[in-house]
Amino acid sequence: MTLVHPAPAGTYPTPAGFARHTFPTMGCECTVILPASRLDAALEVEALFAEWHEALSRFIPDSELAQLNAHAGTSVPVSRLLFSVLEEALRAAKATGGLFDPTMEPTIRELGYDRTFAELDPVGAPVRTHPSAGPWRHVVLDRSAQTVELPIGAGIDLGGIAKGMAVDAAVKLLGSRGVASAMVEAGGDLAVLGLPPGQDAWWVAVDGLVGHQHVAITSGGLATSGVARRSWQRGGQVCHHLIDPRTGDSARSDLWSVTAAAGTCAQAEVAAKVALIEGRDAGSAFLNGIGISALFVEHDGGASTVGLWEAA
Amino acid sequence: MGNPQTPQHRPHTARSRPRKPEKVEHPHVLARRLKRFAVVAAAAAFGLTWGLVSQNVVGATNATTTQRATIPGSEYFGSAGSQSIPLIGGGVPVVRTGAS
Repeated sequence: MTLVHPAPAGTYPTPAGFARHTFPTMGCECTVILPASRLDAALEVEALFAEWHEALSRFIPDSELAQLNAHAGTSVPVSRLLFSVLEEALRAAKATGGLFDPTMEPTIRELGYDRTFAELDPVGAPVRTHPSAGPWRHVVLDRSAQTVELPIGAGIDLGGIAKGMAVDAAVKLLGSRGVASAMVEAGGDLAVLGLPPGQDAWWVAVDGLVGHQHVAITSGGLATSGVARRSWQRGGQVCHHLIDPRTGDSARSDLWSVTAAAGTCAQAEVAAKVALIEGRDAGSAFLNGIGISALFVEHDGGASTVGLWEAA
Repeated sequence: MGNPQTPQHRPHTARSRPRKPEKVEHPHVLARRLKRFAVVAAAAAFGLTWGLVSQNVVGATNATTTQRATIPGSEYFGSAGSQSIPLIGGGVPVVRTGAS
């Protein structure tokens, strides 16, 4: 069952006894909802996001990721953080046959997304696209030496998975600080801890083409991938940041957005992105194959669900 | 057609035993044998090298790894049915979310 809800006139209500802490990070806004008495832990979450952003942004010239990309072809010692995120990203690539591909940085740069989205030239000359050769298969991770070697010509764009993993890490951090109930949301990626007081789930309003869909989770993460934002034009063609490695072009599927629920926010992020690239039919088959529930919104605004959902 | 003759039996001695004619390889045959040997040796060398490479690089989990292999989706996403079932259609949202 899907119902379209209008956006509320004001802000969304915070559960009784809870507070929200909001800050900009990773090119979006992050919201932490937690007991009002634990705003100290929210500040720790903000510090965590700052650390992840500084290490993993491809737009900060001296970030660890930018340095790694600048030294493709050589073995580079990296921090535990970057190593673990790369390990997860490459596992996701293996599990999706390379449809989730963290080595698309040169391609997305060629398509015009070569600086932060705020600085991006919205219109430009046409670009030639070509399928990815899947350089992720040739990334060498040495766990004992904690080094990474990218094949020559390859570059890493962690995109949403880094944000999803940061959300998961933030929720874990809150749990380790004794917070029993919280939600962390950052630009479409969210994860929850416990339940809000007096509620049986964490309800969120997912953007649709028209109004919102209200969906809820009781554990794990929820992530939305879509083409509504971060789009630009090259040669009159609309480009966006979700690249199909099979074409080297922005995904041209029949889906406008996919919202997936999974055990972790990072898994939800990967599942949503791959389903969006695949489109309605192949995306449904993919999600059913891995037992993940998702909400599809098509370009005409129509919404449908995949997998198991419980009607409220 | 000549007359059939019964072969005369003569005891062989070292001196009397007829010497086996020395085998002389034709150059083409020799070349063919050398080529065959080279192919077998190359295949063995390749197999040995590939075995070492795959043991050290592809198959290792704790040491250096490249990303040749695929893994089942369930190994990354968890087994089907292990996720909690999300809800849809009602409730009071605490936050708005969507693609960024």
